[in-house]
Amino acid sequence: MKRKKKSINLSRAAIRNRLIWLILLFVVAGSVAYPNPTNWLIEKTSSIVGFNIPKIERPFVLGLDLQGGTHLEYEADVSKVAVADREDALTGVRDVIERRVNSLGVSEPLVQTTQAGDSWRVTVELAGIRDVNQAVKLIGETPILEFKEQNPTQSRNLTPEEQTQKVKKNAEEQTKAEDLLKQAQADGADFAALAKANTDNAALKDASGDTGFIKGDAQYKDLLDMLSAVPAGTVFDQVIEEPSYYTVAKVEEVKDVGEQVHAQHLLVSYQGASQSTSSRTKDEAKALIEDYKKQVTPKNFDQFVRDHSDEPGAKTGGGDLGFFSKGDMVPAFEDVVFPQETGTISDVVETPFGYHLIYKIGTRPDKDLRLRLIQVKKTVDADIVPPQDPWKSTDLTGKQLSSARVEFDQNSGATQVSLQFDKEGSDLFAELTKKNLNKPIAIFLDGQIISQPVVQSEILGGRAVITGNFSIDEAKTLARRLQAGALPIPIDLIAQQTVGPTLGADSLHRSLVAGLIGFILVAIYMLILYRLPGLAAILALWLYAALSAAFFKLIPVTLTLSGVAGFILSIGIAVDANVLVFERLKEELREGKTLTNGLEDAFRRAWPSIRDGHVTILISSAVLFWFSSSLIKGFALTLGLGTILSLFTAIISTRSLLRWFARTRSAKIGWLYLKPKSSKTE
Amino acid sequence: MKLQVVKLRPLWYLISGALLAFSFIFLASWNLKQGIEFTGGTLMAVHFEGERPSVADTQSVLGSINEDIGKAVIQPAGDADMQLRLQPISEDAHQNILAALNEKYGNVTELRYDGIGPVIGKELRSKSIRGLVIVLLAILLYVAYAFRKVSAPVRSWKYGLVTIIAAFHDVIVPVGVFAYLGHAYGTEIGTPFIAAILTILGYSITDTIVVMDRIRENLLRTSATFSEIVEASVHQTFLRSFNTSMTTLLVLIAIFLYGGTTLREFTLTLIIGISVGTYSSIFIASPLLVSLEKLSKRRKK
Repeated sequence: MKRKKKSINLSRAAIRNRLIWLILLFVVAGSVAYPNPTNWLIEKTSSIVGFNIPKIERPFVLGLDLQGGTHLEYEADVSKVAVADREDALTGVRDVIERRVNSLGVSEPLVQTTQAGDSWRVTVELAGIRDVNQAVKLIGETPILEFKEQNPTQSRNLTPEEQTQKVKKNAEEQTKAEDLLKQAQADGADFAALAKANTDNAALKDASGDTGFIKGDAQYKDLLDMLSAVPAGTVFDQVIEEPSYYTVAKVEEVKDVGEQVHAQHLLVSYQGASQSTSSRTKDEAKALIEDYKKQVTPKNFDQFVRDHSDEPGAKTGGGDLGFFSKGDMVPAFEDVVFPQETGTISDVVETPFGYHLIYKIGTRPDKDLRLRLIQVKKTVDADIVPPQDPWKSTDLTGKQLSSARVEFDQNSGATQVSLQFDKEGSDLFAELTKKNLNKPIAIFLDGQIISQPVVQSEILGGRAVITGNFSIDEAKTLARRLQAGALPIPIDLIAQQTVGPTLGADSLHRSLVAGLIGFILVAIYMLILYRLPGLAAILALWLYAALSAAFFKLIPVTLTLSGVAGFILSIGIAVDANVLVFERLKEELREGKTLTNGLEDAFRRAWPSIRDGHVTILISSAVLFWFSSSLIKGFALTLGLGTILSLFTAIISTRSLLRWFARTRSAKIGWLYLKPKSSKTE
Repeated sequence: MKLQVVKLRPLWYLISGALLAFSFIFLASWNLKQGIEFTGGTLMAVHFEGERPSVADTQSVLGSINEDIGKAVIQPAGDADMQLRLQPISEDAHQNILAALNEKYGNVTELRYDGIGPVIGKELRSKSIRGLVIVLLAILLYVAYAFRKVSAPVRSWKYGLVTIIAAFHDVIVPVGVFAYLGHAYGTEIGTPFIAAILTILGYSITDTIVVMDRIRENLLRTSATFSEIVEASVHQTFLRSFNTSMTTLLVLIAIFLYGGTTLREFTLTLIIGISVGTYSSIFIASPLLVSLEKLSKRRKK
């Protein structure tokens, strides 16, 4: 009974002090939870004292379901990894995914590995991402960098028998194509159906042989040249022999796309120009071409080019470029030749290749075609003797890479990607370059050859450069992909949960409204039921709300929709303790105790029930938290945290408030304290 | 007017018996309809900017992608939304569906997309069951601990037993209701349902413990008969039980009405469970304690 006496004898000052502490706590928690008013004050103070006081800037961490985003769960295939190395392999996967995801520019991506039974998982959470598809593709891709050397075993040539066999087969195939051509030319023939039924080109089969418009597609360049004069809707009257097909073609649509130019040019190059073998200086070249310009006329141009042009093959071809379209030549060249008048010779033109004089022979409308093709497979050497892979794998791969960067060649300014190997890779690379001196080494990315430099000398120090016709963007992408590296083990997407930003915002708004309404309803209920103690409970509830919100920000707790639900639900629990105490208070007062004594007894007697109740809820939330499904985790965390905080606010703060109230004049009005009418006032 | 809680206990047993019987019958005949979280599968919610097309129309658009996707279960939701339920599909198929819908109906936005592989489904199911068992065990242990000092005239384990029976009662009823809802409206249960059930367990036990605590306290203070003490304790705690449940139900109803569709299944489960839990802590747990005491007395005679 010692404790009881002590609390009753608490002096007014002690009670007031406690209350002041509580108010301070509320102000601090409230400022963290809702910093606007405090920040406004800070700003005012800052401007007065002329010193910048930092503001409170700590946002709520919103879960994916409230801000929109995607949750991806991958299962890693660890079957080929020794049990002891699995954790490392997973860490490797996580790092690679993290780097890939970072390149997407997602804010604070979350990449975690978890073990569920025998399987290893990687979960990726991307908030506020727009293109989920792109992310899924990027994360799942496996860029593989390989270094290969020349394969010493080369394909053999065909034997005479095989040669005869091939010719015979080709003849059969050609006959088949001729036959199809006849069918296609027959009245009322359905070319599309024929193509679908007979084409050997799997890539076009589903489209019934439809190529779409073909301009700019390298594989159709020859067909475009050959068929550009054929009117739309006509089947070309010959079987076209292509490198790997006998082709029957129908022009479906013809489209004018500007004009093509036929031109002839003279080139004077100098040392350092692109593809140049000349030893002149640039100034000499300039002087020379100025001189030529004075000598040439449209009549002597052809012969002049054959005699003087630096272009390889100009002697026989006369520098004739044939018909070309916009985009085929370097810009500096095109800018001159397209506006140029037909039959004239241009002024001196400078391109990366050197200096040019251009004679424009003529123009014609440039056409783009949409074709439908029936392609009969042509037997080629490779079908009879399988080709030998010209490249042989080495032990050097992207695994030994320690960094990849975009660089610019010091001489030409060309974009290149420089690689730095680790120790093991450096040794392998030195060995490889030593072995392949003056031979090419090929660099493969995802099975595609991207560069095949010739080894000039043995390279020590593990630095290599990939050159190629990269644009800066391409080089950046390549460097980034190499830097991110390949996934050490394959992964498989097993679960995906995406919430669109609209739904997220809507959910957030709705749950806030629901919380507010819930709060108001509880407040009204408590006030009606318990009057002044009810008011104390509501004030305690405010403190509870501010404290919870502050904790959510400071820990920080990722607020999901279910987490908010848990918080709202904990408002109901927070008043439970108060309800228990107030019901007890009613009884104590009914027994005729004084208000102060009744209060102390009510709190003391209600305590075991409150404790037991809170503990069971805490047990439930702990188990729910262990559940680990993110949806439920949020709920468990806020419910659990709420239960603990509410224990503090409902007991400590309500008690202090009521002790203080009980010492004010309000204590005279028994009605306020649920005092039964029959009992005496203090 | 005082309700004779202990005296009228056959009536409460009858009501609860009927509730339990119906729940078991519903559960046995229809079982719970498991959501994609447990079975594996795909749930897509899309929003139509223009007018929402008919279900049949959408079905044919999906059917044009491939036969399996055409089998999707389509439900209109909200004003201009639609939910599609499918087997687990690849990310490419997912994009194809979006593209096909966009092509046909213009501005279609994806509100949410859940694709759960069958592995995850199986795992979540076993995790849920394990969770339930662990919560029950943990709480049983705690109850036994909390009542370890009380003995006469009822052994402490009997308090625990009664508390667990009441908790079981409170969980079975919402399960039965959801078996019915699944049958009648196709309501599916997912992890939120399990979370709600676990919360109800905690709640129900809290509620019961408050009454038991009061009985324990009164046993030490008065010398009335056991059933009188129980009756008095129930009346003393009645308002507390009712008011606590009311405040909790008020916030739950606020979430149910204004919290959006995503939380509806969760809050409904809680509303049912907490209502039943309050009832059982007053009308089932305490009378059961009296019945148990009478039973052991009769045996002694």
